Amino acid sequence: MELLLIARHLNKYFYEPEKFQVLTDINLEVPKGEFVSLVGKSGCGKSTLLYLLSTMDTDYEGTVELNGELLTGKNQNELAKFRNEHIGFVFQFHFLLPEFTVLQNVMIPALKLKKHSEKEIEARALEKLKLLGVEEQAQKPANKLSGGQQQRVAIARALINDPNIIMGDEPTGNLWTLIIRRWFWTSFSNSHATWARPSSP
Amino acid sequence: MNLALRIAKTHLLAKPRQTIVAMLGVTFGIAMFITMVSLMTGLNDFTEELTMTSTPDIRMYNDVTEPRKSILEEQKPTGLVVVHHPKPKNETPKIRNAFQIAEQLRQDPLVLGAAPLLSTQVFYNYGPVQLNGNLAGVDILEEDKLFNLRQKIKTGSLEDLLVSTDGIIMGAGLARKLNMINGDRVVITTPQGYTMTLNVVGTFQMGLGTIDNAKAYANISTVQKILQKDQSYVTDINIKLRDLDLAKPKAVELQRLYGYKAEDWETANATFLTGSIIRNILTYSVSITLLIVAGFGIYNILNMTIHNKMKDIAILKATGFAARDVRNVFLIQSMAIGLIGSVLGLAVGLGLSYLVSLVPFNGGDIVTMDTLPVNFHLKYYLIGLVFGNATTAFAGYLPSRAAGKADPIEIIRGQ
Ligand SMILES: Nc1ncnc2c1ncn2[C@@H]1O[C@H](COP(=O)(O)OP(=O)(O)O)[C@@H](O)[C@H]1O
Ligand SMILES: [Mg+2]
Repeated sequence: MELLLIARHLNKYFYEPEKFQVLTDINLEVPKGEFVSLVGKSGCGKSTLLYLLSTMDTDYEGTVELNGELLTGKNQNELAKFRNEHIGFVFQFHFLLPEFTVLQNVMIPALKLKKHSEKEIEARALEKLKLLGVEEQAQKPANKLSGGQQQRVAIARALINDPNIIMGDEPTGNLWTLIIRRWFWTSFSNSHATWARPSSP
Repeated sequence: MNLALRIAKTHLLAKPRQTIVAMLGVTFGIAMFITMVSLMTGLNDFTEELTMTSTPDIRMYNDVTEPRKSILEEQKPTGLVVVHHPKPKNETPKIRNAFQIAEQLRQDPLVLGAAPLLSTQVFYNYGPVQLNGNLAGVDILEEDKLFNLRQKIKTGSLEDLLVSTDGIIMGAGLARKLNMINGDRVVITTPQGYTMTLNVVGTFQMGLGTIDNAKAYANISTVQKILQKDQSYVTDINIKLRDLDLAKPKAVELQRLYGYKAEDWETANATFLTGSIIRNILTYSVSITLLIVAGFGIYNILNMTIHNKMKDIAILKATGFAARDVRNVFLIQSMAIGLIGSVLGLAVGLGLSYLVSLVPFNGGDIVTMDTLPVNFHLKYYLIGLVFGNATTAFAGYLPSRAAGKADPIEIIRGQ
């Protein structure tokens, strides 16, 4: 099986308030098309690991490889571009840009990537919103949505650039299961995306 | 449209009140700059023009107070000689061959005109009161070439003076003080005690109190008669150059050439020029202070905006915005505030300086003006535009760069 994500000998320290090792020699392999859950008790370092794997934290020992590309050692600009193109991230708190409409929120990562024309991007964003069942909200300001709706929009945003991997931190309720099932049915065959999903037991 | 620009625009429009407050800071600073600079340079130009109309580019005269070698020093060129408190020799301030010198000067391609004249202090008698003033004996047509006298004449004409015997054209202020109109006769007394009656044939107004309240013109021959001098007696030669800026070197040259003191207009009007320098310093320091205050305002507001937008910054960075992109989002906001704020400031400044130019202002006895002189020069509007934009760009850069460098993980963890 082809490996999508390979993490080798990850060590992570925090220095404040005192030196403290959060992650000790983590080795992780995630094959393409797999759905992976990371389970552990609160405070064991799941979020911390996810930040390393998602390239947002670069202060660690070891190597992270994604989609055959070694990400360790790349500079911030390269990593930002890589995240934009290949990683979909859903935060523990569903962050949306409050001044923008739901549709604009979903479109922004694609407008940044500039792979498609704006018209196409809009069509694709509506498609993703439909997939998550919030397409009627498209023209509303993001901050006028309920928490659950906001989370769906955040997931639609994570999907907009057809990433290789989607990472989510502590999904709540059964929303995820539902979404994942639906999404797998509709787009698994062509996108080969992988879910990494840490969750508390 | 550029994505950063689009996000910046949305941010600005989402908080209109805050945006407007930041903008008004810049607007106020620029408007004040424009108003002040317009008035101050207006005043500078006004005074410069006034002094130029009353001062020749170069004035050549015989300076009898000039320190000179004592006879003792001439006799004993070597050795230590001390002469205590030497005084000027009793000689007349006459320029020898003045008319020939003037003719020679007129041949000089750099010289536009050269007018010999004869100037003396006189007392104007007004009943029992004696007013101090001076009387210039001139070739009125030559003088007109130098100072555009024709335009300054209030009553009478230059030709009236030419054809009259013992005629005099008086400063308007002096005429008012003496309660005189054309056709009246004025009795003057020279410092030597000689008294004579002259006919007022006209009045002029230069706009400068020191001249209008004290000076009068007469023909050279009239003044020679008053002073009881011969027909070649002349005390000054006024020279006008084609290029004003050459006055200083030309004065030095003429002094060396003819041996008489040649004074250029800059030296003669040093106090006026100092005044304009001080006004410029004042204008720029007040405007820069105002703009710095506006800059601090923008710095504060942008810092606050960025603080409130930390979550957005984390999202943008997590979804693939580089530090530069995030920085641009905020930098564009401050530049937009700067641009719109300063353009508005230019408009307000234009309006204010127009209003100032309408304000009636009485220059009193010192200068003649009805309203404040205001300069509407494009140059200052360009300076204002550059000023306003540079300040806001500078004030916005530091917070914007900090926003670009913000660590998304820390923001997310902080939730
Ligand atoms: N910025 C930080 N500085 C110091 N310690 C931290 C920091 N962030 C997290 N930690 C510590 O690291 C450990 C792992 O945290 P985290 O990865 O958030 O756990 P979780 O598995 O619940 O997601 C915790 O003990 C937490 O206190
Ligand atoms: Mg966690």
